[in-house]
Amino acid sequence: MDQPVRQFRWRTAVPTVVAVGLAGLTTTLTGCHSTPEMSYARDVYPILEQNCEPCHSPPDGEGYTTVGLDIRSYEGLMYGTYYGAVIVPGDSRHSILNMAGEGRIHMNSRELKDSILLSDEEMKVLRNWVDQGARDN
Amino acid sequence: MGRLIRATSGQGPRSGERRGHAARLAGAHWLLLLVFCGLAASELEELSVTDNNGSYRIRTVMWVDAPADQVYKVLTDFEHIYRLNPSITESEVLPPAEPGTTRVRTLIEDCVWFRCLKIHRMQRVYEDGPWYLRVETDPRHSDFKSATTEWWILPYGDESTKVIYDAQMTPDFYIPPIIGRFILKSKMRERIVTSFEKLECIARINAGLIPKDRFRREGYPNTGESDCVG
Repeated sequence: MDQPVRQFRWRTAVPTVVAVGLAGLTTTLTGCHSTPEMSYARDVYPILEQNCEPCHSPPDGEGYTTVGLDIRSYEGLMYGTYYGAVIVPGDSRHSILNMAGEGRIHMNSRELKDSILLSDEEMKVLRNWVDQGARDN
Repeated sequence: MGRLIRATSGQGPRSGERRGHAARLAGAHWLLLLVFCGLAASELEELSVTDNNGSYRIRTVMWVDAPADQVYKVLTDFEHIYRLNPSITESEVLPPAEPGTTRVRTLIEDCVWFRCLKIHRMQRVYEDGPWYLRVETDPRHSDFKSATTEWWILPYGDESTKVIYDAQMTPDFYIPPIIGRFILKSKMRERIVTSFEKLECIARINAGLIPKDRFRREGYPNTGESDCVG
């Protein structure tokens, strides 16, 4: 018995191809921006509060008295130290905050390194926040 | 901070007999100032970057408005060496290989136009005498075939220092011919001026010549030109 010959239906095929293409493109684009948006208040401050605030708080914190960094507020963090900013918005590789937290500087001081070195997850949060512009959000 | 163009080598910066010479040099220095486009290199006495067969020589003579002992302290504060060079992304002070020396490892990440480089450097610092430093780069652990730097820190009065920086280096990374050399030399000039500005700024703060809380008084955000580090 002869099989019925199916006609190629352009009206059905073209929209299907377009839809599949758009879906793929959307997935790709979404994949490129899969890093969740970091929030200073929700994600960043708790890390700083737990790891840095004991030393970087006025009036007697050692990190405050030696370099003047007060991390109790966003403004204080962005003021930086007596010598300048510790954050380069958009560039975590060159931000002193990230360099210190990731142990890329002060590596010769074992005591300091152990006390300020963050966990991988905490490093990632700070890195993403700075790379996203270090906003007060 | 004084922003006077100063005379060439010899006696102190305020020597009256050399004012005429300084004035003659002013024209040439203005050209440099324009080239550096506001990098505040007005205390620059000499800056030359030359290359020969893959090797580069940088010679800089700079007047720094800070006491020599503070300048020396900043230069030898190896743990905070990143304060002088904003391209440093890693630094570590290692146990000395021989007595009287300091070993410092740094990673520099910098982009020139569309090309970004990671440059590893292992340096051995010799402190010979109160106002002299010699820095030798270990080619086995560095992206340099060879590199030697010498610093002379010469005090003039209580708040002025003449700093001479003389470096010779042979990079061990690819530099595109002609245009690459030109760009690299331009970048070297820019970086050395920036480092000297930071050196002066930090030394002045440590000497109490700049109030430590000036950023807070100048207002937020602290990303302006007065910034020593950022």
